[in-house]
Amino acid sequence: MEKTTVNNKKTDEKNMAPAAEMVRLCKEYREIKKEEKKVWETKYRPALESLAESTS
Amino acid sequence: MGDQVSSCLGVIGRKHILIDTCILIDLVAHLSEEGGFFDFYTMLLQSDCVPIISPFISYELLSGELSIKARKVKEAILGGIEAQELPLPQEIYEWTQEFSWVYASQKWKDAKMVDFSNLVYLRKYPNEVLLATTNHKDFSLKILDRVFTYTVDDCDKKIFNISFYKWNEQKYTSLVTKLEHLL
Repeated sequence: MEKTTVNNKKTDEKNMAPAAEMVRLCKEYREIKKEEKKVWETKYRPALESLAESTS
Repeated sequence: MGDQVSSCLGVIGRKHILIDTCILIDLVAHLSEEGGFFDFYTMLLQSDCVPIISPFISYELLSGELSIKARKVKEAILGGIEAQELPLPQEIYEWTQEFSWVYASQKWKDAKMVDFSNLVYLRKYPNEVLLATTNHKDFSLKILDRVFTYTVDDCDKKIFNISFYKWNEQKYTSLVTKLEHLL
């Protein structure tokens, strides 16, 4: 084990995204999940419930 | 600069910080232009630590995503934190089996493979790697040292305690020796 590196990365090699970019990505993800939830509630859940009723 | 931030910077400086999945999930759920997570992320940016992830953490974060769109954004978030993953150490097979035995003996029941893999990295690089997590119950002080706790106060919504853990070989060996005599 090298004493100063892990996976050959030195501590001065950090390349994190700026905070504003991370905020944008996290907000984008939350919007996608909100839309997914809407589609699930309006499309998939009724379809699955209807399927369950028809097969019971 | 607040006391908490300057103290934390002193602890994590020049270290590789293994960011646990729970922190990434909280970051994705709560990061906005202000608030505790923004301050935490900004602190990581300012520090000279290197955030790192493992293939297990990547997998845990991305698993269960149904849509390609959501998965792509999560991948971009992972890349934003730290594009490179640590390789799996060769000791992973031997050590995770031993960890699972130790955890079973202590009735620490909820730990998963990703938690054991975090321990493998901590044990392999004890002077270089700290684990950052909010999942305290799976990282016992019987084998680790908690070197700092950073409180994220998310604007009246919730308070998160992010702790930084370091491997303690002496504690671990002592526990294993006791268990070997007992079991």
